[in-house]
Amino acid sequence: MPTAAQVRSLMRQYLRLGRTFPNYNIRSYLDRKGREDARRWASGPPADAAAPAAEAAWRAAVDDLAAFKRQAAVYGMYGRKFKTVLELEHDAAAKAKAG
Amino acid sequence: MLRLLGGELARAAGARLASFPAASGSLSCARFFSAQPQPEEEEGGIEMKGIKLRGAPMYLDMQATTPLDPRVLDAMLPYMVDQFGNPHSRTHMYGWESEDAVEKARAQVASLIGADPKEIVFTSGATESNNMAIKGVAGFYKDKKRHIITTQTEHKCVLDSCRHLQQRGWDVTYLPVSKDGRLALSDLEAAMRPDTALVSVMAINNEIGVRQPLADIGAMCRARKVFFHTDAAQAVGKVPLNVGDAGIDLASISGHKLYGPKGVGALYVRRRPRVRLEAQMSGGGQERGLRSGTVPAPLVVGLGAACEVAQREMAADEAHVRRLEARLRGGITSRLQGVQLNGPEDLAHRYPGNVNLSFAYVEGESLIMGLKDIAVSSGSACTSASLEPSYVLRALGVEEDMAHTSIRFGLGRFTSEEEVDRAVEMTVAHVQKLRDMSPLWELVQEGVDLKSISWVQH
Ligand SMILES: Cc1ncc(COP(=O)(O)O)c(C=O)c1O
Repeated sequence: MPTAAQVRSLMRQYLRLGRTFPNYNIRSYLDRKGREDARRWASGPPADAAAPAAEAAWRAAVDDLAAFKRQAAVYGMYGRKFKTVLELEHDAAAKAKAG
Repeated sequence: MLRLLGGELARAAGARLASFPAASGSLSCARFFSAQPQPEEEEGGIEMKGIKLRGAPMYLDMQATTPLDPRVLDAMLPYMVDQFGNPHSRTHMYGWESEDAVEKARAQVASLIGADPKEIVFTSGATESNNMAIKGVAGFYKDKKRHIITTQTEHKCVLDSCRHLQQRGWDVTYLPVSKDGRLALSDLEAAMRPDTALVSVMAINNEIGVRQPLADIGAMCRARKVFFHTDAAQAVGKVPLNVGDAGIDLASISGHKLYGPKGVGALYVRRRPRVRLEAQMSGGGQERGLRSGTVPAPLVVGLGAACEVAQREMAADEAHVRRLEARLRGGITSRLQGVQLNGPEDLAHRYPGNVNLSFAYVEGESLIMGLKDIAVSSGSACTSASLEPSYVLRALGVEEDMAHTSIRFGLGRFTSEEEVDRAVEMTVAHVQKLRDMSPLWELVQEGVDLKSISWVQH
Protein backbone atom coordinates (compact mmCIF):
# COMPACT_ATOMS: atom_id res chain seq x y z
CA MET A 1 0.00 0.00 0.00
CA PRO A 2 1.18 3.55 -0.67
CA THR A 3 2.51 5.73 2.10
CA ALA A 4 0.78 8.99 2.99
CA ALA A 5 3.60 10.86 1.25
CA GLN A 6 3.11 8.83 -1.93
CA VAL A 7 -0.61 9.60 -1.89
CA ARG A 8 0.05 13.34 -1.41
CA SER A 9 2.58 13.35 -4.22
CA LEU A 10 0.27 11.58 -6.67
CA MET A 11 -2.65 13.85 -5.88
CA ARG A 12 -0.47 16.93 -6.29
CA GLN A 13 0.50 15.65 -9.72
CA TYR A 14 -3.16 15.16 -10.66
CA LEU A 15 -3.97 18.69 -9.58
CA ARG A 16 -0.96 20.10 -11.43
CA LEU A 17 -1.98 18.29 -14.63
CA GLY A 18 -5.48 19.60 -13.95
CA ARG A 19 -4.04 23.09 -14.48
CA THR A 20 -1.83 22.38 -17.48
CA PHE A 21 -3.61 19.77 -19.65
CA PRO A 22 -4.38 21.36 -23.04
CA ASN A 23 -8.14 20.67 -22.90
CA TYR A 24 -10.63 22.48 -20.68
CA ASN A 25 -12.86 19.48 -19.92
CA ILE A 26 -10.00 17.14 -19.12
CA ARG A 27 -8.45 19.77 -16.85
CA SER A 28 -11.70 19.98 -14.95
CA TYR A 29 -11.89 16.17 -14.74
CA LEU A 30 -8.30 15.80 -13.48
CA ASP A 31 -8.87 18.47 -10.87
CA ARG A 32 -12.01 16.72 -9.64
CA LYS A 33 -10.39 13.29 -9.69
CA GLY A 34 -7.36 14.58 -7.78
CA ARG A 35 -9.57 16.02 -5.06
CA GLU A 36 -11.95 13.05 -4.85
CA ASP A 37 -9.15 10.50 -4.74
CA ALA A 38 -7.24 12.52 -2.15
CA ARG A 39 -10.35 12.48 0.05
CA ARG A 40 -10.75 8.74 -0.47
CA TRP A 41 -7.14 7.91 0.37
CA ALA A 42 -7.08 10.33 3.28
CA SER A 43 -9.43 8.07 5.21
CA GLY A 44 -6.42 5.85 5.88
CA PRO A 45 -5.52 2.28 4.92
CA PRO A 46 -8.54 0.06 4.19
CA ALA A 47 -9.56 -2.92 6.28
CA ASP A 48 -7.85 -6.16 5.36
CA ALA A 49 -10.78 -7.46 3.33
CA ALA A 50 -10.73 -4.36 1.14
CA ALA A 51 -6.94 -4.29 0.79
CA PRO A 52 -6.66 -6.04 -2.61
CA ALA A 53 -9.25 -3.71 -4.13
CA ALA A 54 -7.51 -0.69 -2.63
CA GLU A 55 -4.17 -1.90 -3.95
CA ALA A 56 -5.67 -2.27 -7.45
CA ALA A 57 -7.26 1.17 -7.22
CA TRP A 58 -3.92 2.68 -6.23
CA ARG A 59 -2.17 1.01 -9.17
CA ALA A 60 -4.90 2.23 -11.53
CA ALA A 61 -4.52 5.78 -10.22
CA VAL A 62 -0.76 5.65 -10.88
CA ASP A 63 -1.24 4.13 -14.37
CA ASP A 64 -3.98 6.62 -15.24
CA LEU A 65 -1.74 9.56 -14.34
CA ALA A 66 0.98 8.25 -16.65
CA ALA A 67 -1.56 7.87 -19.47
CA PHE A 68 -2.92 11.39 -18.93
CA LYS A 69 0.64 12.77 -19.00
CA ARG A 70 1.34 11.05 -22.33
CA GLN A 71 -1.97 12.23 -23.75
CA ALA A 72 -1.22 15.82 -22.75
CA ALA A 73 1.44 15.71 -25.48
CA VAL A 74 -1.06 14.27 -28.00
CA TYR A 75 -3.62 16.97 -27.18
CA GLY A 76 -0.88 19.57 -27.44
CA MET A 77 -0.23 18.46 -31.01
CA TYR A 78 -3.70 17.55 -32.22
CA GLY A 79 -6.09 19.46 -29.98
CA ARG A 80 -8.35 22.21 -31.28
CA LYS A 81 -6.52 25.41 -32.06
CA PHE A 82 -9.19 27.78 -30.77
CA LYS A 83 -10.58 28.10 -27.28
CA THR A 84 -13.92 27.21 -25.78
CA VAL A 85 -16.39 29.94 -24.90
CA LEU A 86 -15.67 29.41 -21.20
CA GLU A 87 -11.94 29.86 -21.68
CA LEU A 88 -12.60 33.06 -23.60
CA GLU A 89 -14.77 34.28 -20.77
CA HIS A 90 -12.04 33.42 -18.24
CA ASP A 91 -9.48 35.31 -20.34
CA ALA A 92 -11.76 38.33 -20.60
CA ALA A 93 -12.41 38.30 -16.85
CA ALA A 94 -8.68 38.05 -16.09
CA LYS A 95 -7.95 40.92 -18.47
CA ALA A 96 -10.64 43.08 -16.91
CA LYS A 97 -9.23 42.35 -13.45
CA ALA A 98 -5.68 43.15 -14.51
CA GLY A 99 -6.79 46.59 -15.56
CA MET B 1 -64.27 32.04 -24.09
CA LEU B 2 -62.03 34.65 -25.53
CA ARG B 3 -62.15 35.21 -29.23
CA LEU B 4 -59.43 37.03 -31.04
CA LEU B 5 -59.22 37.95 -34.65
CA GLY B 6 -55.87 37.43 -36.31
CA GLY B 7 -55.89 41.06 -37.41
CA GLU B 8 -56.50 42.36 -33.91
CA LEU B 9 -53.75 40.22 -32.52
CA ALA B 10 -51.39 41.41 -35.23
CA ARG B 11 -52.19 45.04 -34.39
CA ALA B 12 -51.71 44.33 -30.73
CA ALA B 13 -48.36 42.73 -31.29
CA GLY B 14 -47.07 45.13 -33.91
CA ALA B 15 -44.96 44.33 -36.93
CA ARG B 16 -43.35 41.26 -35.36
CA LEU B 17 -46.26 39.19 -36.57
CA ALA B 18 -45.74 39.97 -40.23
CA SER B 19 -45.14 36.30 -40.93
CA PHE B 20 -48.25 35.11 -39.09
CA PRO B 21 -49.80 32.40 -41.21
CA ALA B 22 -53.37 33.18 -42.17
CA ALA B 23 -54.86 29.73 -41.89
CA SER B 24 -53.74 28.53 -38.51
CA GLY B 25 -56.76 26.53 -37.42
CA SER B 26 -55.51 25.65 -34.00
CA LEU B 27 -52.67 26.90 -31.94
CA SER B 28 -50.55 23.81 -32.22
CA CYS B 29 -47.09 25.29 -32.66
CA ALA B 30 -45.94 28.66 -31.46
CA ARG B 31 -43.17 28.77 -33.98
CA PHE B 32 -44.34 31.81 -35.92
CA PHE B 33 -44.60 34.16 -33.01
CA SER B 34 -41.14 35.15 -31.94
CA ALA B 35 -38.49 37.16 -33.67
CA GLN B 36 -35.30 35.63 -34.97
CA PRO B 37 -32.38 36.47 -32.72
CA GLN B 38 -29.88 38.73 -34.36
CA PRO B 39 -26.37 37.33 -34.76
CA GLU B 40 -24.02 39.32 -32.59
CA GLU B 41 -20.89 40.91 -33.94
CA GLU B 42 -17.72 39.37 -32.62
CA GLU B 43 -14.05 39.84 -33.33
CA GLY B 44 -11.90 36.91 -34.35
CA GLY B 45 -14.68 34.33 -34.10
CA ILE B 46 -15.18 31.18 -36.12
CA GLU B 47 -17.76 30.84 -38.84
CA MET B 48 -19.34 27.49 -39.68
CA LYS B 49 -22.54 26.77 -41.60
CA GLY B 50 -23.17 30.50 -41.76
CA ILE B 51 -23.13 30.77 -37.98
CA LYS B 52 -20.54 32.91 -36.24
CA LEU B 53 -19.10 31.36 -33.11
CA ARG B 54 -16.83 33.14 -30.67
CA GLY B 55 -15.24 29.87 -29.51
CA ALA B 56 -15.93 26.16 -29.21
CA PRO B 57 -19.40 25.69 -27.69
CA MET B 58 -19.75 23.85 -24.39
CA TYR B 59 -20.45 20.23 -25.27
CA LEU B 60 -23.68 19.09 -23.59
CA ASP B 61 -24.75 16.39 -26.02
CA MET B 62 -23.45 13.19 -24.41
CA GLN B 63 -26.27 11.04 -25.81
CA ALA B 64 -25.19 11.83 -29.37
CA THR B 65 -21.64 10.84 -28.63
CA THR B 66 -19.05 11.13 -25.88
CA PRO B 67 -15.49 12.37 -26.19
CA LEU B 68 -12.79 9.71 -26.16
CA ASP B 69 -11.36 9.32 -22.67
CA PRO B 70 -7.60 10.08 -22.93
CA ARG B 71 -6.91 6.74 -21.22
CA VAL B 72 -8.75 5.03 -24.06
CA LEU B 73 -6.73 6.72 -26.77
CA ASP B 74 -3.61 5.87 -24.79
CA ALA B 75 -4.55 2.19 -24.93
CA MET B 76 -5.36 2.33 -28.65
CA LEU B 77 -2.29 4.12 -29.99
CA PRO B 78 0.15 1.18 -29.82
CA TYR B 79 -2.22 -0.74 -32.12
CA MET B 80 -2.17 2.11 -34.62
CA VAL B 81 1.62 2.24 -34.63
CA ASP B 82 3.84 -0.85 -34.48
CA GLN B 83 1.30 -3.45 -33.43
CA PHE B 84 -0.80 -3.37 -36.58
CA GLY B 85 -1.15 -7.12 -37.08
CA ASN B 86 -4.30 -8.85 -38.22
CA PRO B 87 -5.67 -10.50 -35.07
CA HIS B 88 -6.62 -13.52 -37.20
CA SER B 89 -3.06 -14.11 -38.47
CA ARG B 90 -1.96 -17.37 -36.91
CA THR B 91 1.56 -17.64 -38.23
CA HIS B 92 3.53 -14.76 -36.70
CA MET B 93 4.03 -12.42 -33.78
CA TYR B 94 2.05 -9.58 -35.37
CA GLY B 95 -1.09 -11.66 -35.39
CA TRP B 96 -0.53 -13.12 -31.94
CA GLU B 97 -0.05 -9.78 -30.18
CA SER B 98 -3.15 -8.32 -31.86
CA GLU B 99 -5.15 -11.38 -30.95
CA ASP B 100 -4.05 -11.11 -27.33
CA ALA B 101 -5.14 -7.48 -27.29
CA VAL B 102 -8.54 -8.33 -28.78
CA GLU B 103 -9.10 -11.12 -26.25
CA LYS B 104 -8.15 -8.84 -23.35
CA ALA B 105 -10.69 -6.33 -24.64
CA ARG B 106 -13.33 -9.05 -24.91
CA ALA B 107 -12.75 -9.90 -21.25
CA GLN B 108 -13.00 -6.21 -20.28
CA VAL B 109 -16.34 -5.82 -22.06
CA ALA B 110 -17.66 -9.06 -20.55
CA SER B 111 -16.58 -8.07 -17.05
CA LEU B 112 -18.48 -4.78 -17.17
CA ILE B 113 -21.81 -6.54 -17.82
CA GLY B 114 -21.20 -9.73 -15.86
CA ALA B 115 -20.85 -11.94 -18.93
CA ASP B 116 -18.40 -14.58 -20.09
CA PRO B 117 -15.90 -13.37 -22.72
CA LYS B 118 -17.15 -16.11 -25.07
CA GLU B 119 -20.53 -14.36 -25.08
CA ILE B 120 -19.17 -11.12 -26.61
CA VAL B 121 -19.24 -10.54 -30.38
CA PHE B 122 -17.51 -7.42 -31.66
CA THR B 123 -19.43 -5.32 -34.18
CA SER B 124 -19.24 -1.87 -35.74
CA GLY B 125 -21.57 -0.36 -33.14
CA ALA B 126 -25.00 -0.58 -31.59
CA THR B 127 -26.74 -0.19 -34.95
CA GLU B 128 -25.11 -3.35 -36.22
CA SER B 129 -25.61 -5.14 -32.90
CA ASN B 130 -29.32 -4.32 -32.94
CA ASN B 131 -29.67 -5.46 -36.55
CA MET B 132 -27.77 -8.65 -35.80
CA ALA B 133 -29.81 -9.48 -32.70
CA ILE B 134 -33.24 -8.82 -34.16
CA LYS B 135 -32.77 -10.13 -37.69
CA GLY B 136 -30.44 -12.89 -36.47
CA VAL B 137 -32.86 -14.35 -33.91
CA ALA B 138 -35.85 -13.91 -36.22
CA GLY B 139 -34.00 -15.64 -39.04
CA PHE B 140 -32.81 -18.57 -36.98
CA TYR B 141 -36.14 -19.40 -35.34
CA LYS B 142 -38.39 -18.47 -38.27
CA ASP B 143 -39.85 -21.94 -38.78
CA LYS B 144 -41.54 -21.96 -35.38
CA LYS B 145 -41.73 -18.32 -34.30
CA ARG B 146 -42.85 -15.35 -36.33
CA HIS B 147 -43.67 -12.66 -33.79
CA ILE B 148 -41.54 -9.88 -32.28
CA ILE B 149 -42.41 -7.38 -29.58
CA THR B 150 -40.78 -3.99 -29.19
CA THR B 151 -41.76 -0.47 -28.10
CA GLN B 152 -42.64 2.70 -29.98
CA THR B 153 -39.75 4.61 -28.46
CA GLU B 154 -36.87 2.39 -29.56
CA HIS B 155 -33.94 3.75 -31.54
CA LYS B 156 -34.52 3.98 -35.29
CA CYS B 157 -32.25 1.02 -35.99
CA VAL B 158 -34.43 -1.28 -33.86
CA LEU B 159 -37.65 0.01 -35.38
CA ASP B 160 -36.27 -0.28 -38.91
CA SER B 161 -34.98 -3.81 -38.32
CA CYS B 162 -38.48 -4.75 -37.15
CA ARG B 163 -40.02 -3.00 -40.15
CA HIS B 164 -37.69 -4.99 -42.39
CA LEU B 165 -38.95 -8.25 -40.88
CA GLN B 166 -42.56 -7.11 -41.07
CA GLN B 167 -42.18 -6.64 -44.81
CA ARG B 168 -40.97 -10.24 -44.99
CA GLY B 169 -43.90 -11.78 -43.17
CA TRP B 170 -43.15 -11.43 -39.47
CA ASP B 171 -45.65 -9.93 -37.05
CA VAL B 172 -44.35 -7.06 -34.95
CA THR B 173 -46.07 -5.48 -31.94
CA TYR B 174 -44.96 -1.93 -31.14
CA LEU B 175 -46.00 -1.36 -27.55
CA PRO B 176 -46.99 2.13 -26.38
CA VAL B 177 -45.37 3.72 -23.34
CA SER B 178 -46.77 5.83 -20.51
CA LYS B 179 -46.47 9.60 -20.56
CA ASP B 180 -43.12 9.43 -18.80
CA GLY B 181 -41.87 6.82 -21.25
CA ARG B 182 -42.15 3.63 -19.19
CA LEU B 183 -43.35 0.35 -20.58
CA ALA B 184 -46.17 -1.27 -18.61
CA LEU B 185 -45.45 -4.93 -17.85
CA SER B 186 -49.14 -5.75 -18.22
CA ASP B 187 -48.99 -4.49 -21.83
CA LEU B 188 -45.99 -6.68 -22.49
CA GLU B 189 -47.65 -9.71 -20.93
CA ALA B 190 -50.81 -9.17 -22.99
CA ALA B 191 -48.79 -8.92 -26.19
CA MET B 192 -46.95 -12.22 -25.73
CA ARG B 193 -47.98 -15.10 -27.98
CA PRO B 194 -46.93 -18.73 -28.28
CA ASP B 195 -45.02 -17.79 -31.44
CA THR B 196 -43.21 -14.78 -29.95
CA ALA B 197 -39.53 -15.19 -30.70
CA LEU B 198 -38.07 -12.00 -29.26
CA VAL B 199 -38.79 -9.02 -27.04
CA SER B 200 -36.59 -6.00 -27.71
CA VAL B 201 -36.75 -3.15 -25.18
CA MET B 202 -34.02 -0.56 -24.74
CA ALA B 203 -32.31 -0.12 -21.38
CA ILE B 204 -32.12 3.69 -21.40
CA ASN B 205 -33.79 5.88 -23.99
CA ASN B 206 -31.45 8.19 -25.87
CA GLU B 207 -33.88 11.12 -26.03
CA ILE B 208 -35.45 11.24 -22.57
CA GLY B 209 -33.25 8.97 -20.47
CA VAL B 210 -36.10 6.78 -19.22
CA ARG B 211 -34.95 3.44 -17.81
CA GLN B 212 -37.08 0.43 -18.56
CA PRO B 213 -37.67 -2.27 -15.90
CA LEU B 214 -35.20 -4.71 -17.43
CA ALA B 215 -35.17 -7.31 -14.66
CA ASP B 216 -38.98 -7.57 -14.67
CA ILE B 217 -39.05 -7.85 -18.45
CA GLY B 218 -36.26 -10.42 -18.36
CA ALA B 219 -38.09 -12.55 -15.80
CA MET B 220 -41.30 -12.40 -17.82
CA CYS B 221 -39.50 -13.43 -21.00
CA ARG B 222 -37.62 -16.24 -19.29
CA ALA B 223 -40.86 -17.66 -17.86
CA ARG B 224 -42.33 -17.80 -21.36
CA LYS B 225 -39.15 -18.98 -23.09
CA VAL B 226 -38.97 -15.83 -25.20
CA PHE B 227 -35.58 -14.26 -25.89
CA PHE B 228 -35.00 -10.81 -24.42
CA HIS B 229 -32.83 -8.33 -26.30
CA THR B 230 -31.98 -4.90 -24.92
CA ASP B 231 -30.39 -1.98 -26.73
CA ALA B 232 -28.06 -0.95 -23.93
CA ALA B 233 -26.09 1.63 -25.92
CA GLN B 234 -26.99 4.43 -23.50
CA ALA B 235 -26.71 2.30 -20.38
CA VAL B 236 -23.53 0.25 -20.48
CA GLY B 237 -20.74 2.05 -18.66
CA LYS B 238 -23.15 4.61 -17.19
CA VAL B 239 -25.31 2.55 -14.85
CA PRO B 240 -24.72 -0.91 -13.38
CA LEU B 241 -26.03 -3.54 -15.78
CA ASN B 242 -25.67 -7.25 -15.18
CA VAL B 243 -26.98 -9.57 -17.87
CA GLY B 244 -27.45 -12.40 -15.39
CA ASP B 245 -29.43 -10.41 -12.82
CA ALA B 246 -31.60 -8.77 -15.47
CA GLY B 247 -32.29 -11.98 -17.41
CA ILE B 248 -30.95 -10.47 -20.63
CA ASP B 249 -30.26 -12.82 -23.55
CA LEU B 250 -28.84 -10.28 -26.00
CA ALA B 251 -27.48 -6.78 -25.32
CA SER B 252 -26.19 -4.15 -27.75
CA ILE B 253 -23.24 -1.97 -26.78
CA SER B 254 -21.77 1.07 -28.55
CA GLY B 255 -18.19 2.26 -28.08
CA HIS B 256 -18.78 5.96 -28.63
CA LYS B 257 -21.44 6.30 -25.95
CA LEU B 258 -19.08 5.29 -23.15
CA TYR B 259 -16.02 7.44 -23.94
CA GLY B 260 -14.71 4.87 -26.42
CA PRO B 261 -14.15 5.15 -30.17
CA LYS B 262 -16.78 5.37 -32.90
CA GLY B 263 -17.26 2.49 -35.31
CA VAL B 264 -17.03 -0.26 -32.73
CA GLY B 265 -19.51 -1.98 -30.48
CA ALA B 266 -20.46 -5.39 -29.22
CA LEU B 267 -23.35 -7.76 -28.96
CA TYR B 268 -23.72 -9.91 -25.89
CA VAL B 269 -25.19 -13.30 -26.87
CA ARG B 270 -26.12 -15.65 -24.04
CA ARG B 271 -24.63 -19.16 -24.12
CA ARG B 272 -26.70 -20.81 -21.38
CA PRO B 273 -29.51 -21.19 -22.30
CA ARG B 274 -28.09 -20.78 -25.72
CA VAL B 275 -29.30 -18.11 -28.11
CA ARG B 276 -28.74 -18.97 -31.77
CA LEU B 277 -28.43 -16.33 -34.46
CA GLU B 278 -28.37 -16.31 -38.22
CA ALA B 279 -25.25 -14.43 -39.28
CA GLN B 280 -25.92 -11.21 -41.16
CA MET B 281 -22.46 -10.97 -42.71
CA SER B 282 -20.92 -13.67 -44.90
CA GLY B 283 -17.18 -14.10 -45.14
CA GLY B 284 -14.18 -15.43 -43.28
CA GLY B 285 -16.17 -16.65 -40.30
CA GLN B 286 -14.59 -14.40 -37.66
CA GLU B 287 -16.30 -13.96 -34.27
CA ARG B 288 -17.44 -17.60 -34.23
CA GLY B 289 -19.03 -17.20 -37.62
CA LEU B 290 -21.44 -14.54 -36.39
CA ARG B 291 -19.66 -11.52 -37.77
CA SER B 292 -17.23 -12.02 -40.61
CA GLY B 293 -14.64 -9.36 -41.31
CA THR B 294 -11.27 -8.58 -39.75
CA VAL B 295 -11.80 -7.41 -36.19
CA PRO B 296 -10.55 -3.79 -35.96
CA ALA B 297 -8.05 -4.40 -33.19
CA PRO B 298 -7.32 -0.72 -32.31
CA LEU B 299 -11.02 0.09 -32.01
CA VAL B 300 -11.76 -3.04 -30.04
CA VAL B 301 -8.86 -2.28 -27.69
CA GLY B 302 -10.42 1.16 -27.22
CA LEU B 303 -13.82 -0.34 -26.45
CA GLY B 304 -12.22 -2.67 -23.92
CA ALA B 305 -10.29 0.15 -22.26
CA ALA B 306 -13.44 2.29 -22.15
CA CYS B 307 -15.30 -0.54 -20.40
CA GLU B 308 -12.46 -1.04 -17.95
CA VAL B 309 -12.32 2.67 -17.08
CA ALA B 310 -16.13 2.81 -16.84
CA GLN B 311 -16.17 -0.08 -14.41
CA ARG B 312 -13.64 1.65 -12.16
CA GLU B 313 -15.15 5.11 -12.44
CA MET B 314 -18.85 4.28 -12.50
CA ALA B 315 -19.62 5.24 -8.91
CA ALA B 316 -17.71 8.54 -9.18
CA ASP B 317 -19.23 9.31 -12.60
CA GLU B 318 -22.73 8.61 -11.37
CA ALA B 319 -22.33 10.82 -8.29
CA HIS B 320 -20.90 13.61 -10.47
CA VAL B 321 -23.68 13.39 -13.05
CA ARG B 322 -26.33 13.40 -10.32
CA ARG B 323 -24.87 16.59 -8.84
CA LEU B 324 -24.86 18.21 -12.27
CA GLU B 325 -28.42 17.14 -12.98
CA ALA B 326 -29.70 18.72 -9.77
CA ARG B 327 -27.80 21.92 -10.59
CA LEU B 328 -29.07 22.11 -14.15
CA ARG B 329 -32.68 21.20 -13.56
CA GLY B 330 -32.97 23.12 -10.32
CA GLY B 331 -31.23 26.13 -11.86
CA ILE B 332 -33.57 26.32 -14.82
CA THR B 333 -36.87 25.42 -13.18
CA SER B 334 -36.31 27.72 -10.20
CA ARG B 335 -35.87 30.69 -12.52
CA LEU B 336 -38.34 29.97 -15.30
CA GLN B 337 -42.01 29.09 -15.34
CA GLY B 338 -43.48 26.87 -18.00
CA VAL B 339 -40.65 24.33 -18.13
CA GLN B 340 -41.59 20.68 -18.53
CA LEU B 341 -39.33 17.68 -17.98
CA ASN B 342 -39.83 15.04 -20.65
CA GLY B 343 -39.33 11.66 -19.00
CA PRO B 344 -39.66 10.56 -15.39
CA GLU B 345 -38.90 12.96 -12.52
CA ASP B 346 -37.81 10.07 -10.33
CA LEU B 347 -34.14 9.26 -10.86
CA ALA B 348 -34.89 5.63 -10.09
CA HIS B 349 -36.46 5.61 -13.55
CA ARG B 350 -34.28 8.08 -15.44
CA TYR B 351 -30.57 8.33 -16.14
CA PRO B 352 -29.63 11.74 -14.65
CA GLY B 353 -27.18 12.52 -17.44
CA ASN B 354 -30.15 13.05 -19.75
CA VAL B 355 -32.24 16.13 -19.00
CA ASN B 356 -34.85 16.77 -21.69
CA LEU B 357 -36.75 20.00 -21.07
CA SER B 358 -39.51 21.72 -23.03
CA PHE B 359 -40.07 25.46 -22.78
CA ALA B 360 -43.60 26.80 -23.16
CA TYR B 361 -44.33 29.98 -25.14
CA VAL B 362 -41.15 30.10 -27.16
CA GLU B 363 -40.45 28.89 -30.66
CA GLY B 364 -38.21 25.89 -31.20
CA GLU B 365 -35.94 27.18 -33.88
CA SER B 366 -35.31 30.55 -32.23
CA LEU B 367 -34.57 28.73 -29.01
CA ILE B 368 -31.88 26.46 -30.41
CA MET B 369 -30.43 29.15 -32.70
CA GLY B 370 -29.93 31.49 -29.76
CA LEU B 371 -28.08 28.87 -27.74
CA LYS B 372 -25.13 28.55 -30.08
CA ASP B 373 -22.62 28.64 -27.22
CA ILE B 374 -23.90 25.32 -25.97
CA ALA B 375 -23.93 22.15 -28.06
CA VAL B 376 -27.25 20.47 -27.31
CA SER B 377 -29.85 18.48 -29.22
CA SER B 378 -33.38 19.52 -29.90
CA GLY B 379 -36.51 17.40 -30.06
CA SER B 380 -37.65 19.78 -32.71
CA ALA B 381 -37.11 18.98 -36.32
CA CYS B 382 -37.85 22.62 -37.16
CA THR B 383 -34.24 23.05 -38.18
CA SER B 384 -34.37 20.14 -40.62
CA ALA B 385 -36.48 19.80 -43.73
CA SER B 386 -39.42 18.16 -41.98
CA LEU B 387 -41.63 19.77 -39.40
CA GLU B 388 -42.23 16.48 -37.62
CA PRO B 389 -41.28 16.57 -33.96
CA SER B 390 -39.52 13.62 -32.38
CA TYR B 391 -41.45 10.35 -32.54
CA VAL B 392 -40.30 9.56 -29.02
CA LEU B 393 -41.88 12.72 -27.59
CA ARG B 394 -44.98 12.04 -29.66
CA ALA B 395 -45.24 8.55 -28.20
CA LEU B 396 -45.21 10.12 -24.73
CA GLY B 397 -48.10 12.33 -25.77
CA VAL B 398 -46.06 15.54 -25.48
CA GLU B 399 -48.04 18.31 -27.19
CA GLU B 400 -46.62 19.40 -30.50
CA ASP B 401 -45.69 22.93 -29.44
CA MET B 402 -43.84 21.55 -26.43
CA ALA B 403 -42.11 18.89 -28.53
CA HIS B 404 -40.84 21.64 -30.81
CA THR B 405 -39.20 23.47 -27.91
CA SER B 406 -37.56 20.49 -26.28
CA ILE B 407 -33.86 20.61 -25.55
CA ARG B 408 -31.84 17.62 -24.44
CA PHE B 409 -28.96 18.46 -22.13
CA GLY B 410 -26.49 15.58 -21.98
CA LEU B 411 -24.12 15.47 -19.00
CA GLY B 412 -21.18 13.19 -18.41
CA ARG B 413 -17.77 12.40 -16.99
CA PHE B 414 -16.09 15.44 -18.53
CA THR B 415 -18.85 18.01 -17.97
CA SER B 416 -17.90 20.66 -15.40
CA GLU B 417 -20.12 22.38 -12.85
CA GLU B 418 -19.08 25.67 -14.38
CA GLU B 419 -20.40 24.57 -17.78
CA VAL B 420 -23.71 23.63 -16.24
CA ASP B 421 -23.96 26.97 -14.45
CA ARG B 422 -23.25 28.90 -17.64
CA ALA B 423 -25.69 26.73 -19.61
CA VAL B 424 -28.36 27.54 -17.03
CA GLU B 425 -27.65 31.28 -17.25
CA MET B 426 -27.64 31.26 -21.04
CA THR B 427 -30.81 29.20 -21.32
CA VAL B 428 -32.71 31.26 -18.77
CA ALA B 429 -31.64 34.57 -20.32
CA HIS B 430 -32.48 33.43 -23.82
CA VAL B 431 -35.89 31.99 -22.96
CA GLN B 432 -36.73 35.20 -21.07
CA LYS B 433 -35.65 37.29 -24.05
CA LEU B 434 -37.78 35.27 -26.46
CA ARG B 435 -40.77 35.44 -24.14
CA ASP B 436 -40.37 39.20 -23.74
CA MET B 437 -40.79 39.46 -27.50
CA SER B 438 -43.72 37.05 -27.63
CA PRO B 439 -47.31 38.32 -27.69
CA LEU B 440 -48.43 34.90 -26.47
CA TRP B 441 -46.35 35.22 -23.33
CA GLU B 442 -47.89 38.66 -22.77
CA LEU B 443 -51.35 37.10 -22.89
CA VAL B 444 -50.31 34.34 -20.51
CA GLN B 445 -48.94 36.95 -18.10
CA GLU B 446 -52.31 38.68 -18.26
CA GLY B 447 -53.92 35.44 -17.18
CA VAL B 448 -55.39 34.39 -20.51
CA ASP B 449 -55.71 30.64 -20.95
CA LEU B 450 -54.38 30.13 -24.47
CA LYS B 451 -56.25 26.87 -24.86
CA SER B 452 -59.49 28.81 -24.61
CA ILE B 453 -58.67 30.99 -27.59
CA SER B 454 -60.32 30.10 -30.86
CA TRP B 455 -58.40 31.47 -33.77
CA VAL B 456 -60.52 32.99 -36.46
CA GLN B 457 -59.48 32.81 -40.04
CA HIS B 458 -59.69 35.90 -42.20
C1 LIG C 1 -30.15 3.82 -27.92
C2 LIG C 1 -29.23 3.80 -29.09
N1 LIG C 1 -29.16 2.71 -29.87
C3 LIG C 1 -28.32 2.64 -30.92
C4 LIG C 1 -27.51 3.69 -31.27
C5 LIG C 1 -26.61 3.57 -32.45
O1 LIG C 1 -25.30 3.31 -32.03
P1 LIG C 1 -24.08 3.29 -33.03
O2 LIG C 1 -23.80 4.71 -33.38
O3 LIG C 1 -22.98 2.66 -32.25
O4 LIG C 1 -24.45 2.47 -34.22
C6 LIG C 1 -27.57 4.85 -30.50
C7 LIG C 1 -26.78 6.04 -30.83
O5 LIG C 1 -27.03 6.77 -31.74
C8 LIG C 1 -28.45 4.90 -29.39
O6 LIG C 1 -28.53 5.99 -28.63
